[in-house]
Amino acid sequence: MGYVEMSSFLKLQNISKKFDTENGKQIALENIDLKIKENEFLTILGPSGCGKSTLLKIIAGFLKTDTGQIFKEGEISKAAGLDRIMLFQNFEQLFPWQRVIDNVSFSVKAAAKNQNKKLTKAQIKKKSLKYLNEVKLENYQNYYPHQLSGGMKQRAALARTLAAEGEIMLMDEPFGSVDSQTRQELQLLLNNLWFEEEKTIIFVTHDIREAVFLSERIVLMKNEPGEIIKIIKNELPRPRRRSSIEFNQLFEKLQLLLNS
Amino acid sequence: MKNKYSQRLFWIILLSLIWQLTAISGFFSEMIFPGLDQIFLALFDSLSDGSLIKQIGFSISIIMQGLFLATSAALLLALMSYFSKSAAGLIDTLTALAHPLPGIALMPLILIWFGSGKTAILMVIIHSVLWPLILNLSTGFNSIPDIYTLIAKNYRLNKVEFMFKILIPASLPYFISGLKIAWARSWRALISAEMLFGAINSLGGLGWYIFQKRVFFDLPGVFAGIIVIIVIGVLVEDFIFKKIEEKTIKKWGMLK
Repeated sequence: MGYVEMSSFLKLQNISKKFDTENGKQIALENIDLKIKENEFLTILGPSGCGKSTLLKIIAGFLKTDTGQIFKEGEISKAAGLDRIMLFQNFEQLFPWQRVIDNVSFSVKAAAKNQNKKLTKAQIKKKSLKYLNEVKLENYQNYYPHQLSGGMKQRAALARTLAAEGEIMLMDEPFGSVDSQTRQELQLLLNNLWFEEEKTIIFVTHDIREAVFLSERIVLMKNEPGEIIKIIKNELPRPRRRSSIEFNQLFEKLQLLLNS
Repeated sequence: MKNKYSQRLFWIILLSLIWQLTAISGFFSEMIFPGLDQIFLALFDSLSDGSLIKQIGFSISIIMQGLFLATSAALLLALMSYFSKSAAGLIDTLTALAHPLPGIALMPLILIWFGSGKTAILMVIIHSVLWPLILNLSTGFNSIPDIYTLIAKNYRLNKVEFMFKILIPASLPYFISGLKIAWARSWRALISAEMLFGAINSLGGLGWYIFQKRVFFDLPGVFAGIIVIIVIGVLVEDFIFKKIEEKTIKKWGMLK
């Protein structure tokens, strides 16, 4: 493998994807090249239909590419796995038949199996509680998902995603379906989690403020065809304040770029 | 819910009253229109001498065996057709052909192939349960949210894990409603099969019991049998299945 792969943890090379639609082939993604560093918080920002979710699904291994490849630490990565774990927007991602803690244990068990470890029941419970604790949901461990609010459901799903112990977490507008106050709480929670844990996060959103608040680098995409238009570094100091001048300057800059 | 039951009770009392008045009026012969007092006396007698209890036991045990066998087979076949396209084609065709066929139409054939014993009754029950259950299970399997299959891929579940951890629990509402249909159909099939196939050592189940009573023109006895059949049917549908739903899909917020 060449020197390029050495420096990047995850590398997307020349990725294209077309979909068949009623009006013929639609180009969802064209010539996507992207390098992602280890433990980086990267957002993919763009209007709906720009293929950002498709790109995330390709990285996760849920979708095949038409051209191009994904390298993780220099090796081609194809099939889905626990190293690239997805957090969805849909509240349905939690299993309604399991209590919150069992939803997290599901992931703990899968991770243990993936790492060829044997855990006792007590160890599984302890680990699951640890992750519930991280998302401040330990008091709701015995609730069923339908008894939780939207924000709590997403926190439970976040705990399950963390419990998979993957190096890369993929997030497909996970806070897109909750009210704005809850959304800010969840963003702060994620910000703190990322700061404490060593994780690479690829976060898809169409909310510019969300991207500015969370990420270190912002990938801007446009639609028809879905292409990267620019990659912006975000070096605002953390914790970021939404009311600060720098925050709003970056917001306006991104808005201009997206609308141009 | 309460209201539903008090309404039901009200109508049952009113209808019983009309029945009893008609019987007392002497408009019909006592032979063909017995009063409720005679019916309940007959019911009490055959319950206390154990003869009816034995028949109930026979019917319940045979229907349980039939439900168990048919449910296991339906699960297996529905899973096969979920995972394999060619199996799906075959099972789909078989279901389409067999599902509309009333069990009673198969009875002459079953009589020749399996004789008139317990196996024959079991066959009729299995036929009446298997196909609707396969239909319901397949619908359930095919309507689980797409996100679950993505999660299964992401967490690297193998087929068996996917089946038990996701597919079956996620389609439980369909499974339970399939079981309800299965119960209702098999209960009806059982009673008719028992009537046709007769008894082995005087044990022939509730259907045979009613048939016997008719032979002796014991109409209160016939009605006593009918009441038992109704009561068991209602108990299972309204209480057992309701309990199962409360303990599972209702508790999980999956009941639509």
